[in-house]
Amino acid sequence: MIAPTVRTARAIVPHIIVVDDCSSDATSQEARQAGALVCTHPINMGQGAALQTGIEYALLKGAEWIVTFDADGQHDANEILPMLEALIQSNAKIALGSRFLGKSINMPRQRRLLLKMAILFARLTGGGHFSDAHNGFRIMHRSFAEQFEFRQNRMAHASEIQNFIARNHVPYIEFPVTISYTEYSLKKGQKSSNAIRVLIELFTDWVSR
Amino acid sequence: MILAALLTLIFTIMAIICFVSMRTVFSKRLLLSIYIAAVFIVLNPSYSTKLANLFGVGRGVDFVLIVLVVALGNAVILYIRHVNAMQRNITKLARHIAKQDALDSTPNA
Repeated sequence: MIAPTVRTARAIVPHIIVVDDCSSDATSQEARQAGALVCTHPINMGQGAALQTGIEYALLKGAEWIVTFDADGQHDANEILPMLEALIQSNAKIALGSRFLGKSINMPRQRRLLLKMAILFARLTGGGHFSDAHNGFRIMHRSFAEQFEFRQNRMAHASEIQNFIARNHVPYIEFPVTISYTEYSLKKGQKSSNAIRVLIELFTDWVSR
Repeated sequence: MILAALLTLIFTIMAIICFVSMRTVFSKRLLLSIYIAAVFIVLNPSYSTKLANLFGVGRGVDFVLIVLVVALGNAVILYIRHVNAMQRNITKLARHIAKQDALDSTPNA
């Protein structure tokens, strides 16, 4: 599944980094064969940690704009350039994809409900007012990546970045994106029950400040 | 009476096990003093009540309970912080390895 995602993305953007979070399958090889630069975690740490590794590696390689993009085929690579264009025009530092400004295909009803609750929770506790939550499609300028670090290794990272943007008044834009739910991505993706785990992780992080 | 004796015996055995299995002298002494204090309080309940009354608390047990809750709450929070800090260190290490391996395997990309 990684190879088609990498290939379609490569048609739009020449430099693709894939972070292999200690997968047990042949993801690393397939990604490499499809033309991506691969970073492999020696232990499994979670999506937040993988994003941070990928971002740091991109900075190392001299990237000016960094796109975070899901590997399971939920995102549409054709939306990368329009989002980047809008970001550059706006002079903001980061663009956040929003499925509620855009559209979603085949979203399970339970997922929609859970997401709406997550958005509400974020508005009550995070200090910001975003139209989506847990959307991995983002574009950031290098300067944002240099000031921000994903400290949350697992799924709470999505809340972390939104809270950071809100608390530090980082100029941002939201951009409509399409999220396609397929049988593959639903199987691979997080279960709705992970929401509780995210809450616990946010709490323990707060305690650790 | 017999239960108090049983409790004393259990504490004594735990104290001996700790003494034998721990290496650091300080931990041994600390734990030993806790067990001795526990045995003392079990065998002389009036002392703990007098101590509690000094602090304005009615029963010895209540006093111990309050102190316990504070101490445990503290300990748990400290441990959460400690574990999170360790996790961050592990993450940094793993990330360093991942980036280094990637740099090593791409010839001047």
